[in-house]
Amino acid sequence: MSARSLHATTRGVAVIELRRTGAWSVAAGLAVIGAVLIAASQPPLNQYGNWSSSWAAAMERLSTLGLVLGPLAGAAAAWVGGREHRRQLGELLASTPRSALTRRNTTWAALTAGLLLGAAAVTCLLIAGIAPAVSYFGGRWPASLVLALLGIVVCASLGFAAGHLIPGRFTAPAVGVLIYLTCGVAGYLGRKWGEFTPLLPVAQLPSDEGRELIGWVAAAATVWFLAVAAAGLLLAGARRRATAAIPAVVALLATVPLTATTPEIGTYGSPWTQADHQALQSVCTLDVPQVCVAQVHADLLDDVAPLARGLLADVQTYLPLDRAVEIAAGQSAPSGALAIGTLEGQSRFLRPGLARPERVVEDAVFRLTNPQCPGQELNGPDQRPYVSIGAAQLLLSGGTVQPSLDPAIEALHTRLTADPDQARTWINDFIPAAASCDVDTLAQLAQP
Amino acid sequence: MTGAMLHLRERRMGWVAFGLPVLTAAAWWAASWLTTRTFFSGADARVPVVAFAPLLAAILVSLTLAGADIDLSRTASRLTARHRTAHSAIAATALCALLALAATDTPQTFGSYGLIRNSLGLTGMVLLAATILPAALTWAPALIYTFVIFLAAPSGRGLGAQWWAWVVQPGGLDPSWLIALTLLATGIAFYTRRGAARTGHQPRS
Repeated sequence: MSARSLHATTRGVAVIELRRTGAWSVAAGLAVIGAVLIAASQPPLNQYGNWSSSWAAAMERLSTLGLVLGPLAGAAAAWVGGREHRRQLGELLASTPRSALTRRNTTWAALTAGLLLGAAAVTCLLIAGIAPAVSYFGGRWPASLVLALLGIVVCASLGFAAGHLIPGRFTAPAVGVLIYLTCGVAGYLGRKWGEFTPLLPVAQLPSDEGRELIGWVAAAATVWFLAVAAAGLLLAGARRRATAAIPAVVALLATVPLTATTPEIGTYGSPWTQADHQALQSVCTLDVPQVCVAQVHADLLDDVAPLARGLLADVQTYLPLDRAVEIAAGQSAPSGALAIGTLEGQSRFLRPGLARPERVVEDAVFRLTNPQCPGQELNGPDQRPYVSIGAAQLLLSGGTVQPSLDPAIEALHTRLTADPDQARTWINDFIPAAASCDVDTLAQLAQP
Repeated sequence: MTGAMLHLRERRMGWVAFGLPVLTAAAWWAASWLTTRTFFSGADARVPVVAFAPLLAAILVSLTLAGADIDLSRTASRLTARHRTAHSAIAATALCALLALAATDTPQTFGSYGLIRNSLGLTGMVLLAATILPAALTWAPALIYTFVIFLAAPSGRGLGAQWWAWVVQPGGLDPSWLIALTLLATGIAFYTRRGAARTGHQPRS
């Protein structure tokens, strides 16, 4: 057979397999399922839906959606992998000149093309969600995207191998459930297994705002996923199944450095990631009082600035704060600055702007007033510290943050607002008491 | 071997008889393990068991809904609609009776009540799918629905969550039971009336 006719035959077989494996249906199905999952995560179907218009958040969302897309890919591949047995075509196909490896790889490739097309459609939907407001394009998100898609490929490869090696009606759903539970249960295992969970094909890819994949880790993870996929294909199609040991050994070698990584000192990030300082650089208003947010949330500055300035106007009556700054989890506010909590998860899907503006003010007030207690110091029978906390929240927010309807809080607030000098002294006693969890002082401050 | 035993063997009842107790034991162990996790403990941690144990059981039941040759089965005078109704009812009852044992403490919070409800609803879904889809794919709608809803269900409140996310509701008396019972009734009615779907090609397994 000439090279030209062989190419034409391969192309013809590929086209047939695209149709017979249901690749188009699978692609459409995954796209619809992804759209449903994204819609279900937003209001009104989810009251607490949050969205961040950043590449890191989009990749994190894609990784999470993989918890459904990956198992379905595995189940579909297992079903296609069992086709030869179901249709009793084994002997017939063995009589053709094409090797089993070529035949099955063509079948797998056709199905995987459909799966990747569906995953790509979901990715496009996520990109559409961040497009109106994304303000930072760094952070190695292309590497995260490649790994997320490779996870789907790995699920398809392992599913195909299982479907071919274990023919039966129960194989496909069992593969789907096994992948789902394996990748989903990782979240219950605790820190002891933390270094292994990113090796799972779906749902565990670390992707946080302000952090990026370490370069060599991304490369090693790519090798790991490709080697696992190759091992699955060789198990399904190779005449000598032992050849699957070669990519299996490569995969094993790749896990050695990947599981030996340790998190950066002083951070809560995954050991696969490092701080993305450019994403966390401050972007500030040009006029005063100055309001600063992280570069990755720069699109929200226009919405946050008037809210922060309104709160500053109330707070400045009692405290010498002259600007507002967004801080990350675990950080302290710079001296003289009002701390705005991280704006991660406060964007809107498909539109720019804050999803819940009131949350910015509430969060800033809570940061100023909530006691920093390491244990259960506030859980005693004495409710007076809570009266002080509630009165402080009302006072500093100009009455907009209403902690509860306790008459004692209202009475204390009324007394303080009647005498601004006394209120200033009171707040300057309250703030250090809250910062040091001085429960006795907090109780005394509630005295009428 | 009598006709009844041949029929049971053809419908893979041996696998179901073996698989359901094993599944129940695994569900019991998983529920016990989940409730002792340090950062998410208590009855609320049993959501995966309440969602996936009935799913796997319903998939096992789906193996029994059609034989190797559906057209040949239809020529048998004894396999009447009454047999299919009995088959469906026995399957749903067996699932509920066994899986309810997997989480008996605080049954109203992701315990026995939720397991029973989901067993009924997912069995109904599988019965309905058997009348439309090829025998090898009757598990697909129940699997896809459970996977999607387990991830999509709101952790707090969401519009109509008790209706569309019925499979991950705690188990108390609420609209989720209505959905599950409606699915079961519809599935039994359709499977009784139509039997397993005929396709152009009869799969071997």
